[in-house]
Amino acid sequence: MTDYPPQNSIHPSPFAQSPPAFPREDHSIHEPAMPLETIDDTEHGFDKEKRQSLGWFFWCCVVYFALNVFVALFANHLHLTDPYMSTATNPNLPVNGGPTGSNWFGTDELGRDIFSRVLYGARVSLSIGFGAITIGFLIGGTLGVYAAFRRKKIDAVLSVSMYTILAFPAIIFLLAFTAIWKPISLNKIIILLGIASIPAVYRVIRGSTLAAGSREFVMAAKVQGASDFRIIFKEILPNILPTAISFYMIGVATLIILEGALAVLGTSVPAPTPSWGNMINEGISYINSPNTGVGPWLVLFPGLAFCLLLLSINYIGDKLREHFDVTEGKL
Amino acid sequence: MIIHLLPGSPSEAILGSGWTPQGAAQLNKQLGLDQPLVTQYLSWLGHVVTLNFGQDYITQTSIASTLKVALPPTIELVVLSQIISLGLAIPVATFAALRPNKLFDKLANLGSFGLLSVPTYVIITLLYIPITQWLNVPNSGTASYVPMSQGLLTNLESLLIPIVALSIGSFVVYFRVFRADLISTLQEEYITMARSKGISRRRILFRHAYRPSSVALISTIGVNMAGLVTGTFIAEQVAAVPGVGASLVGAIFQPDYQLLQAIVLVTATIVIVVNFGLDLLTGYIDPRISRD
Repeated sequence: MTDYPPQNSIHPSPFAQSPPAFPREDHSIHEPAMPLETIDDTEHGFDKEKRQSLGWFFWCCVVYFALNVFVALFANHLHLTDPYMSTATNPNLPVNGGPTGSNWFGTDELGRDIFSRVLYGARVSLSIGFGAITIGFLIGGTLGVYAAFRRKKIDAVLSVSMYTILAFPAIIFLLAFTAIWKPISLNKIIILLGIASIPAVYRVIRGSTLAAGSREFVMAAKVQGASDFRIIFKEILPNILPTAISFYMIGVATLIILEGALAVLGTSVPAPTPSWGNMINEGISYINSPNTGVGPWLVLFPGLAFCLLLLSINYIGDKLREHFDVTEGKL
Repeated sequence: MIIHLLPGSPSEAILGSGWTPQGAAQLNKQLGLDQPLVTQYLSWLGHVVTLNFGQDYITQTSIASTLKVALPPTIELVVLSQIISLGLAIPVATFAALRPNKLFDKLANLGSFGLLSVPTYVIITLLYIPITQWLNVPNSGTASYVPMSQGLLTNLESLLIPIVALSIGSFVVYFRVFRADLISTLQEEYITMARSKGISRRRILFRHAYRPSSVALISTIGVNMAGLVTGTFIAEQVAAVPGVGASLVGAIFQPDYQLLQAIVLVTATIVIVVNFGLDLLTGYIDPRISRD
């Protein structure tokens, strides 16, 4: 029940441009009281103008993220080298070749072009990230809103079971189920990761629904005799949307990491499919065998693709949370 | 117990191509697998109390000896990475918190946020090139694990990359928590008071600021433990270290229920014991907490 906002807090719309109507007296204890060095810390200060702007780095991340989505959607139409074309069909291909004009990121141990495999890999990562978190939100989010709205028995039962599942490490559950459900495919991985994300989504959505549901305007709607449907869709959902969107983004990043872990353990999407995790898994065994003299490109580029995509998604999610979360500053 | 839903059965794994229904039934009886699941589980629990994890169905070796081989590298990885990450996070966070939003703080913040989003297995793969190929650290390549009995230095060299990768992962979390907490502690009125009395900065930090700030750090270590253990398992797989993670993945694919159960039990116990110890430590550092 710690999710309730303090009773004396002010509730402006999360999107309000104007400063709150009342002075925020409870902030005085956080005001810098002569620190060791002078602090001109906007992060801890309460500069309204600064909090509204998202900063140039945020937009860089958005552009990079959009680029990834674009590549994932239209990889077929970009006239790339066929990511499956290997020395098996064309023996003249350079094997383990370094970056050249025709193979920007070099070629792997089977002569496949790493540049086009990295671009096609975005497709696997993003479809798993978005597909799975969407399943998680459809089931976990619905249950979370329902449990927090109904309270009582259904809430108690659902919460206890979700928290029990949450205590168990997801990776063991995923490994076990990828071992059962053979042959594993992209869709199955999406479904498994989606199910694995349900408890976490449930917890966040339930918490913010509880907080939203205890506000005065929900009470007012109830008093006026609004239907449950209307209260949920017109009063509660718009208010939990900011939290939901930022958690959605962070969830995408988390699930991409989890899929990569499965791929590195060799149980994700089957081998010839170009995915970053698979490329790392295949490359790592070659990278270090001293006799082959393989260059860094086998794992460097998929690794960098992972880093940059995750960084941009996390930064977008984090900034959005900071931007929308009016309660954070009041804690 | 959910693990029993896995397809395949130990009898298939042991008998292989010589599998017949009669042979399997006999073997199941011999191993006690014909008993109901609840009976199997209870008898297993009874043995575990005396630290007898039983026999591995498949390799016919005792699980305790498997664990005895697998635990040392895993524990070594976890302990060393925690020492390194804490040893770095505290001074770096102090330096950043003393001058918040100045150049060093901004750089450290940006770097830690960037690293926060990079999974351990990517860090490991990206570390191989600089460490083994440029610095030429001996024995640091993949699948080159050397047990500690063959010399401490070679052992450390062979574990260098996973240790560094795990340290980076933990360092980032600890740095962010400790920096944020220290900044708010340094703004408390009693620190201003101590400053005005002319107490040196070193004394203020060590006597007045670190103690309240370390409470959040210690509880973060506890929360981090479970994630760290699974992270270590994956790191072991990537770096081909024959630790608990490797046994776990092997046990899932066999399927080897006994070993799997034993590993999950031992890991969970260690995590719970460490968390309990950290809770006691928190109570010692801040007696107000244990009084509640």
